[in-house]
Amino acid sequence: MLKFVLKRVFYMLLTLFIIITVTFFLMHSIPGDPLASMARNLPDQTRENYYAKYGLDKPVWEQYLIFMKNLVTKGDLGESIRYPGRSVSDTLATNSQVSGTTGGLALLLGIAIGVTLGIIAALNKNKWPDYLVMFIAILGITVPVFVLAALLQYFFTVQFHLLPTTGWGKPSNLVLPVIVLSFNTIATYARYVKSNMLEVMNQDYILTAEAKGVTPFNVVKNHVLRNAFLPCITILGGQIASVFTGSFIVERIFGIPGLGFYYISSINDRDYTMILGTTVFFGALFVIAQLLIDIVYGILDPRMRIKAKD
Amino acid sequence: MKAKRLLTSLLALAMIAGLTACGGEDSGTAEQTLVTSLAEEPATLDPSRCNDVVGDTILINVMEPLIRIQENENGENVPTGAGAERWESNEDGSVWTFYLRDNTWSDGEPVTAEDYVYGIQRILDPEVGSPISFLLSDCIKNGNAVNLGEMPVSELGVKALDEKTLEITLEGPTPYFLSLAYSKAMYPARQDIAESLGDTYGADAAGLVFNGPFVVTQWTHNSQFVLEKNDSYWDKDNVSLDSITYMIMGDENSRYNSFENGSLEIVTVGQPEWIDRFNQKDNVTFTEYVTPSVRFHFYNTQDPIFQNENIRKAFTLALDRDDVVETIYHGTMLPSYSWVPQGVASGETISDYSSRGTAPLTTLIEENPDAKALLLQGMEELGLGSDPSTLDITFSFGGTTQWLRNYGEYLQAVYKEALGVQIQLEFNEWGTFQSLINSGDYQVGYQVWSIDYNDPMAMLSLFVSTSSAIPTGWSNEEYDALVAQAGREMDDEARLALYQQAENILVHDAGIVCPVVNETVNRFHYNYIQNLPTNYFSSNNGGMKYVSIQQDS
Repeated sequence: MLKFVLKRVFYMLLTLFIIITVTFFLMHSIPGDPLASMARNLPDQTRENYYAKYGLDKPVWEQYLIFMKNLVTKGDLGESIRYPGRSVSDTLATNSQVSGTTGGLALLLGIAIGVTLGIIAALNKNKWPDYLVMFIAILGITVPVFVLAALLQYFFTVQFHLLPTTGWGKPSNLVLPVIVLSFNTIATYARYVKSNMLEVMNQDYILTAEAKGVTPFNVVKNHVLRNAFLPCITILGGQIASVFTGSFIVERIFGIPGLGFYYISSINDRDYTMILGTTVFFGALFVIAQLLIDIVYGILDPRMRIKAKD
Repeated sequence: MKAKRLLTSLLALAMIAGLTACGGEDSGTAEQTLVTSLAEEPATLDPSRCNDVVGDTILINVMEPLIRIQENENGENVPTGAGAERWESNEDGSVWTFYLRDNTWSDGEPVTAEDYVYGIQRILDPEVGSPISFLLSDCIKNGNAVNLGEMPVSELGVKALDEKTLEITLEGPTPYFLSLAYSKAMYPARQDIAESLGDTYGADAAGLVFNGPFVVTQWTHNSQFVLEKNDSYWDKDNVSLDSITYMIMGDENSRYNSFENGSLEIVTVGQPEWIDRFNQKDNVTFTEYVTPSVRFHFYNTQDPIFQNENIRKAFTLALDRDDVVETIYHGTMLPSYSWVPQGVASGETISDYSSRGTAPLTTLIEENPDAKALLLQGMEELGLGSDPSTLDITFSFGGTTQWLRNYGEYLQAVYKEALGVQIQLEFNEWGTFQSLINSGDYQVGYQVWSIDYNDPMAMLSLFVSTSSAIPTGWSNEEYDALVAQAGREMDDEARLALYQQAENILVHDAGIVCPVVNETVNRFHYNYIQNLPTNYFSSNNGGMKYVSIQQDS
């Protein structure tokens, strides 16, 4: 197990290194100037002063070495160019908490409802509850979040005055964005759980259990669900990372000061330090989540441990 | 249902009350609080590094410039003493002295002339890298040399004669200097604070001090600003509002929804369907006023096709500006026939430059009823034959929004019909677009320019040979000379004539730039809000200082 983990950690670092390097050079290769969004009338001297201040006057490979050195030795991601004086690490820390709160709640809600719907659909295969759940699932996947967000916002805040339109800081601010964000998760899990359950229900050991006279409830609880949930953990890995990085559209519509905004704006603004910071953050979260999932998998599923040993 | 309504309105009241930390003790008067919005997050609250409209909106409420633009008893918007009680200039307008009134920073320190000196020094100090240094570098003595790092900041022509007297020496007579004194370029700054905060100065509200009508008590990035009345402000008796909340709302529809349900009390609207909708709403007032911003096309004069002035003019004339306003903007903008937008003053006697004389484009349109004939003439001059459909022209845009794409398609149709030219469209992100036009890698492009200070000079100086603001590759000695001469002419009428001549060369004779529309603000607010500014420069300058909530609303 230890060897397995160490090996995975090594791959994780390698992946991160590749992500950072590729991002760094790609980002410097796109045309555009980080000062373009700030001012259109800069004297050349001011521009040079500014470049010197952020080290942008040096050759790209030298900037790369400096960045890597600061990151590895000090864990320092630098200062935003677009928002002078703001540290990238602080921005990531503050805003990912906001995104993490909405995203985390949405994920929990989504899994709870999605799994329930998936079970209902699987147990009522080809009956009306199944069709209803699959209809909801298709809706959840096909309706774009901005449409859903706009509709919910209009009905709950303009028509019925039940909730605040936008804002952050009060529990009531969380309701609409969490619902909107959970929709896709509900749909994904409902479909996934249903198909996994159906697959497990066709297995021989279920037949054996039924033949041995286990009650239908216990068959589902002890044999079907346990085995059906395992594959669901895989999709959880990718979702955990995006919980903290937030959604640009949902955050914009509901005025949530999350991290999603920076993923889009930093690229538009050519805010080099912020682009790298957000990418490193997402990359790290993603590979760490994958690692955890692999470890959890190893614990939950004995077959994986045996495979890893081979 | 009624009970439910009551409950929700009670909840709403409780929420609004929760937003204000103080006030509301005496139940007889209306609560002096206001909730409005900003479309995006300001980059910084450091005035010397702030170059966005949203930052200006906050700063004018929390900082005290030397002068503010205020309405006088005749309803005219005139420069009025703010941080300065009075001011005077020497005979030729090259040395200006401001006599400061007693005012206090929010931490109790007195506001001194040194603070204004330091504020100006920061704008021009190359170490700070201010994006707005161009506003002052040409006019304040040694401004350029200091900005280029050739002289120390102490050599600037800005001196504190004593605690309350500020003397500014200019490179020469500068008739528009006073309009800079109420622009963002001349806010005071506290050296001790700026130095102790270093690079993080302005990045957060914590640690900042203010000397304007309000102070920033909360800045949650990308979420909201809370401003509260500044009790150490010299004119606090004339400030009514106890608090202002600026919600940062990037989404247009969210702003409209919030105004519709009353959680936002002021909104500016760009879409006609929402204007219609809010017009039917009770208890709201609609205000429309022009902003000195022009949306325009500009030509690359180094391009093989657009080097020809007749071709440029043909493209300028092919547009029917009334139709653009109707089709593209649904009547929410004004057609523009001059480079200097409407609502720009010139000196203290001319309140609207555009109201004087005939706009250069109007003359051009009268002289040339047939745009296509001009195009064919230009093509002949270049030896390009007589078939406009063979012209290979790409129109560049600095954005990828749906609106821009619609506008591009509109232009395609217009040029096809009026000139028989099939243009290509190219959409790039703003940063890429900037790089392309700066390297001359474009033919014709679209941009918006908002005036930087209240004088035609702010628009006309953009096209002198030494400016790279709008890279058309055009230079004209006569134009340069006229603009330079206007920049020294102290007589308002004589200067107006020079500006008009220069603008005529730019738009009428050479056809370098194609003004399309003037922007307007279409604003709704609830009736209980009083004294909102209705002039661009005074709204930028008065801010929320005089706004109040009507009693017993």
